[in-house]
Amino acid sequence: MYMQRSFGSAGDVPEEMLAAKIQGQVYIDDTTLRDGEQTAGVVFANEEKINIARMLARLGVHQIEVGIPAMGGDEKKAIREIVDLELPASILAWNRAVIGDIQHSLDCGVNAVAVSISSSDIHIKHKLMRDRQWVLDSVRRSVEFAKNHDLYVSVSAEDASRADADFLLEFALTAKEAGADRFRYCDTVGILDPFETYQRVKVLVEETGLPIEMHTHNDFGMAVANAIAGLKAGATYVNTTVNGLGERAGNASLEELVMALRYCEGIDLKLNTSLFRELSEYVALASGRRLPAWKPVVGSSLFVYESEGRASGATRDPGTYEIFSPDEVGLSRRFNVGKYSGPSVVYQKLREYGHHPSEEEVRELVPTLRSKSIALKRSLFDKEVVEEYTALRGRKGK
Amino acid sequence: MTAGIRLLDTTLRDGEQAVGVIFTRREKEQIAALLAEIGVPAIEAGFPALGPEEKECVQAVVKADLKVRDKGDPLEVNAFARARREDIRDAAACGVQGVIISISTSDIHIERKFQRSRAWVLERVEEAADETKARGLAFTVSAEDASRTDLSFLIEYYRLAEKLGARMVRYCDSLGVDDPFSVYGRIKRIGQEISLPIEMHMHNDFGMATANVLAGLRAGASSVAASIGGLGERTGNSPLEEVVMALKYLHGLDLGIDTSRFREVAEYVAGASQRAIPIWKAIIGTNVFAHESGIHADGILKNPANYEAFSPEEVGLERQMIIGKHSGSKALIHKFAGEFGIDLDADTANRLLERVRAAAVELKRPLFDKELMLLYKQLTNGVE
Repeated sequence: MYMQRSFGSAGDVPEEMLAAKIQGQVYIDDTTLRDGEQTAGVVFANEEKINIARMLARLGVHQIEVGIPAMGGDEKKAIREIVDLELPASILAWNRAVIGDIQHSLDCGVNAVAVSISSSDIHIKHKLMRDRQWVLDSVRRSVEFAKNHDLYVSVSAEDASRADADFLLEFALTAKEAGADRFRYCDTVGILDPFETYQRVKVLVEETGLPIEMHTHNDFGMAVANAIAGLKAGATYVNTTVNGLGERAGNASLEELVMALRYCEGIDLKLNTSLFRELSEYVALASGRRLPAWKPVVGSSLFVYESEGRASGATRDPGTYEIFSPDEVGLSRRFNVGKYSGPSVVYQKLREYGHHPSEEEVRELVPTLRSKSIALKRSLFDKEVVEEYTALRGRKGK
Repeated sequence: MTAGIRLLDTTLRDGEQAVGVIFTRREKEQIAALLAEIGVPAIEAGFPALGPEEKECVQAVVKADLKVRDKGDPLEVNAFARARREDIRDAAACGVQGVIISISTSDIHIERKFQRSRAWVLERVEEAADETKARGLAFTVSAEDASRTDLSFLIEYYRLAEKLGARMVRYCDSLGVDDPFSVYGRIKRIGQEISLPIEMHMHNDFGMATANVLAGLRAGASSVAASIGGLGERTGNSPLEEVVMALKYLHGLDLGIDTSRFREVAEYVAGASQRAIPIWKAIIGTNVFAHESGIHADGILKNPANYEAFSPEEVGLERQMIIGKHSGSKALIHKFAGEFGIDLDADTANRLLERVRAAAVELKRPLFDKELMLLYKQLTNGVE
């Protein structure tokens, strides 16, 4: 059948899957402050945690996963402070499926908890060193405890993508019986592709009736695509992080997911996306991880036009090379002269400085500027472009 | 199908087109050599129509006469050309084996960028193909902005390519707007209408380049134009290392690439492009095998398969256990026993852990080994 892990025997993808559209509301549960901070080497100061929570609330996310109260000390203090801000978002704390952990969450005053435990045999045997029944008992006990304390509960199946399908369903149904409000599907090691994700999530949506949340990792570069595949299969929540910060290669990036939903899937979550660049820069600083210039959605070079192919289109009509305009994500458009530049960029650049070169002058300048850029092994500064033009005019006695 | 997937690297063309990136001739030669050594069978070496310097670069790569690892097949060197006779002549002058003939096929580009018609696009390709054949070169016909192109026109365009004798057609998601399901449907349909191999060239604007490449292959495409580290216009292309590892580990298809040199090749390209590899970059980032949090580190210590889909040596990386805010007592015990020869009892480990966490929060980073030892000594000497 198609689910087999090779294209050779893949067979056709069912029409129903190809035609699937995301139905209804999609909710973001951002975990920059939990999974994001869990990344090796990343520590947020309490003040930074609070600022990030505020910014996420301003952006308009539905829920903020703020941390792990069971870590105690400072972590608990930061979480309590965030709760006290009374932000217009639900505040969720992460817990192992252990009553003691949930008690720490209650101390902090959060209104929602993630209760997490591994669901794959590989984790149950080699990490927990227990059996499936022990896992189900832990789920039941911890969810019942949380529900008895009026918490909203998202039951998180760690390593769900490597779990036995029948057991995962049993796990989800046990959680539902115990009163869970939603089920978090974790592709903990990031090994799914969108087609498999769709099939697996579809089963859970249909068989459990629980709201499903996607938690995807980017180990093979497919976190966003997999989250979207899950939504197409009927999931309604996505666990994201700013800049995709998270364990190893990270999580589904908030800004990529939101913009992909808007422009690839036609679903507008009505978030304040013009805050994206600012938020990404802040998280980049707080996490000590510089934002690459080429980062999707928020990278500083995305709206810089240098090569002639793109620039010739963009000077006529930005829609030829832009799916959304830069101000939508807090960026701006710029023209740069470099090795791949041609007449459109050079003309545009000179006009920015109040010059009106003739076509012939531009034609003459292009090879000079290209050679200069190659010799310098970088794009040219505006000043260098203007200087070359002035020199050309000088040579012609103008 | 395994042997049926062809890999083409475009680091030297689309990669170099990234804003601010310029490779010197030596760097182009070196990157081409590295690609051949690890087993990449075909590359796009540049865009000769840009001028004399670029021609020299492409010629140098051709003259290097590179062989693909162990098979000893010659590396297939291609040049990029717009659908213009003069671009083809420039490419041919470099001595390449193949040309990628490219023109936009979407109405939005045809009308708003070229201010021409679909018929004009077809004429241009016909002319360029004519020039290419006259010079005895193989050619791929590429549809820029294919993802926003009316599907029936795209098929008409590819059919013309087939009639003109192209060896392959290229589907470009120039703005990265496809999703895996939409691209699957389109490629499947194209595959039913033409018999030429289809090459996927996908951009990463919404973070889905790799997933879209795989979806295209699943639908019957058989070639991938990727780049090292995903270097390319704006957000870049599908990263070659992600495509190769995803095919290997998610689909059981081994393309015969020496993946253990991925990190080395990526570092070279990062140096030459002056774009550092983010430490979290999938497959090749140094942080991909760094484990800190208690839950993950404990799992890794018991069995790496708990949190790793493949082992670090496979891509030329190393596993690291980091001690910081999220570490647990088991990682501490392991670290002290393994690296310092000190056996911590559970109570000491727990008390040390409290101090470790406090220090990491204060310093806003994980701890160095020396700092760990200092905390341990303070604890055992009763220093508060």
